[in-house]
Amino acid sequence: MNTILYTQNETATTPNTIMVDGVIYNDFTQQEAYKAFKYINQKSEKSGKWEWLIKQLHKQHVILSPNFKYVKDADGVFIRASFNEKDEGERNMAFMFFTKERKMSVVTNIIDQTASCIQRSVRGDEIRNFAKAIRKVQYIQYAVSLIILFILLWIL
Amino acid sequence: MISTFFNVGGEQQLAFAPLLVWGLIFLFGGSLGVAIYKSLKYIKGHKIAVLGMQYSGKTQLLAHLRNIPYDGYVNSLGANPYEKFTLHLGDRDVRIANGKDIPGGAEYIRDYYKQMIVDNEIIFFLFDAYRYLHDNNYSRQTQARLAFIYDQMSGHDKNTVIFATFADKLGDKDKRTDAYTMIKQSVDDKPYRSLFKYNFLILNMKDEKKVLLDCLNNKIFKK
Repeated sequence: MNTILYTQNETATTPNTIMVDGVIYNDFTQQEAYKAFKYINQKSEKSGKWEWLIKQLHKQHVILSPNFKYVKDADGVFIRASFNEKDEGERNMAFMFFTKERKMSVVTNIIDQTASCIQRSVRGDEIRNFAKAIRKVQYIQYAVSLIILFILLWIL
Repeated sequence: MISTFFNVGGEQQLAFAPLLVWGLIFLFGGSLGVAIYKSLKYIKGHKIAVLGMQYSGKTQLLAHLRNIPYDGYVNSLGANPYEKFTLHLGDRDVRIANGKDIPGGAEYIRDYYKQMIVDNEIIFFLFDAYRYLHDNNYSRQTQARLAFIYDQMSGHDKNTVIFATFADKLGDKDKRTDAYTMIKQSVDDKPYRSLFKYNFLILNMKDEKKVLLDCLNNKIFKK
């Protein structure tokens, strides 16, 4: 499994959709679909190290989805967010997405392409904005580490 | 001192003294133990599980209990853990332990329900009252889930609360009363009918927060 997308649909009577490597499964009784769902669901329970950043970006309205989650581990990247499209209760439809690709610029393109296969679009630019925010934080951390190293070398 | 306090015959006084001392120790120790237990309960919190059908208002219920706004919520997908929080019931506070807000899809039953029922002391179950009465497939699924929950509860002492939501779709007060009766009748011959005996309520989860909190105050978290 290289990419998995799981999403609920407009109504509670419509079965959930899971897409594994481009193949859409609409009926959850299928063995493969359940296995893929279980895998992605387990990812959703992990804690990501950027949760503090997500909270900040929520407050700034850079991230709009209240259930936004990002986890990067040895397997790949997991993202939970929501689509622009709404369900019958006027709530933005949530999705869970996993890919073995680890580079965020590539990940965002894959999500966009995968979502378009089921006529959905990712909410705002929140994933791209989030990726930019991570890069910014990483540059700052890198710069601070260099400054500290320089100071230590100067002292020594 | 004890022997002069109780004016009983000499040797009998001395025989009573250790009993009295031990009695006082147990009395104060017991009271202290109860106080410590209640404090720990307040610190650790009551453990609740919020289960139910899709689109039945589980996340809305938790938002009310946690006293946070629900606006802007998306559909629940994947388990969303929440921290322990304080439930404000009028003039007192009740501590609720940390837990998970899990979606209502059937795929979550296998992986979450059993453990959540075992781990928690109060089980909330929600379903859409209107759909239950107008959609046979939905009512069958709801009943199947209730049967599952009832089976898992077997042998465990749990407090259950059933909320039939979307009462606003049912109509006026009389129609709501009829709906209440019809729902109860629909489970009359079922083994899990006892779940509906004490704590079953029809309400509009979105707008009837006061009704919800009154129910919790008077029935679930009684003084």
